[in-house]
Amino acid sequence: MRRTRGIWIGVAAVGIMALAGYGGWRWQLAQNAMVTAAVETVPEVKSPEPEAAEVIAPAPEELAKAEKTPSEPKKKKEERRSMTEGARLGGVLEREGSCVSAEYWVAQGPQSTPPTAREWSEALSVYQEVKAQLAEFLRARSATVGVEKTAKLEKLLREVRLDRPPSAEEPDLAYRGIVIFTRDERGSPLLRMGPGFLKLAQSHTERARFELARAISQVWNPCDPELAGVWGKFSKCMGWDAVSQCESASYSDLAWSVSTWVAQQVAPPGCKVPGLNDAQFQVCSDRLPASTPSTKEAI
Amino acid sequence: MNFPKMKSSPKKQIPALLILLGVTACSSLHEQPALDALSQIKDQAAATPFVEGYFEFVGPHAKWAGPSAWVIHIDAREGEFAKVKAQPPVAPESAPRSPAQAGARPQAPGVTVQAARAQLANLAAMMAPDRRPQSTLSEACLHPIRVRLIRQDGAVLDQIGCRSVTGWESQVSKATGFFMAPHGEG
Repeated sequence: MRRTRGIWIGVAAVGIMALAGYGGWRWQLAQNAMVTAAVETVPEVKSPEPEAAEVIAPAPEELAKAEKTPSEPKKKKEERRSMTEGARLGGVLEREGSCVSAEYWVAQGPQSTPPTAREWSEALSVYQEVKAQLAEFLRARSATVGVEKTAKLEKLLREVRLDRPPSAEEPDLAYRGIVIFTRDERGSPLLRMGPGFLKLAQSHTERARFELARAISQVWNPCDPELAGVWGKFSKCMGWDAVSQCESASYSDLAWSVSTWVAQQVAPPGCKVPGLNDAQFQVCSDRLPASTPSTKEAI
Repeated sequence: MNFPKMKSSPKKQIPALLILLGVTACSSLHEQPALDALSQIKDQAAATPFVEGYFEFVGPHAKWAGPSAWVIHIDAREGEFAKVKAQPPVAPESAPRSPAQAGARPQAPGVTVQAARAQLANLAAMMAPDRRPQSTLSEACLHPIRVRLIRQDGAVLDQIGCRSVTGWESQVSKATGFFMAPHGEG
């Protein structure tokens, strides 16, 4: 009798414990759900299927590979409307010989069709050409930059990759016509472009090459302490200090001036960039490592 | 098979059971302080929600002729749908595909006020000081992003960062994609 009662008490205890545990667990879930609903749950942005970042090496087989691996039959792809068809140029690209900010806007954004194989291969070949020109730019100036630093700059250049638009990670770019230098989650240098940039490459190739050269050369970060010797004299002459130009989240005129100057040397845009023609820059441009009498004339 | 007999009486079992029950209850409540903190955020968001936001993708100085600045303005103060405006607009005024793309907003349906506020609250939560990365002096900022969020009571949360695939800056890009996208019925 005693034993039976003991067993029943044991069973009841286990039951109560299970109920208490379950109740606590449910309570936590309910709390979490409420908080999530209020703070964290937001409608997901529907993005088109992400494309893997294309690793670009200066080798033609990469280009061929990109063309050979479409995600759908080639015939169907060729028939598709291009995503750049609806792109519209907002403003003018130059005014009285001076370059102006302007880009092709894409109203459909991520809802538009990804670039065709042809569009993408054309963009890749322009990208490869510009990258090769930047490598040549470096080699031609290794005497002034120094062998060690030239090697580092070449290494950085090789690491840059181009991501195929539209980008699922940065959906705002899907509406734009710009190319930007950024870094992926591992910190590797990456170029991302809005689909409108492909339209720029078709209609204003010279300007597109300049923009690509500028974006790629932004991997030569003038705030990198190891590269301080390369851009330091110029930066000092311009009156820029590391704190104002290199602090996190502070806009850097130093980085834009250096990359714009490099792009001007490698792929002139066909118009004058005002910043490269202002008085202070003209005074300091001979402090740039690669500056020579001929490059000064080009500016 | 003979098991050893356990000598115990119900009187002896009751205190042990009470202790066990207490331990179980405590284990389910040990996260109470964290939940309280989140509840506070929830309550604050419900009491004075973020009802307006400006996302600015800052461009370089005009003298570099680089990417132009782009500003998205979200007004979720009243009505059924939030008003979303992009400057410059991505589509000409005469041929709007969605209200935000035209630069103006009278077209419905769009982002509901509730969904817009949830999106702004989510961004604000990501911008919390303890979730921001520490300042570094190693990387030039080429593409700053400026965000201004305004609560219903007028309090402002203003922050500037640098375009990135992590942190709150990446959420700005995603939120822009959300607000700019054409939304279905309801």
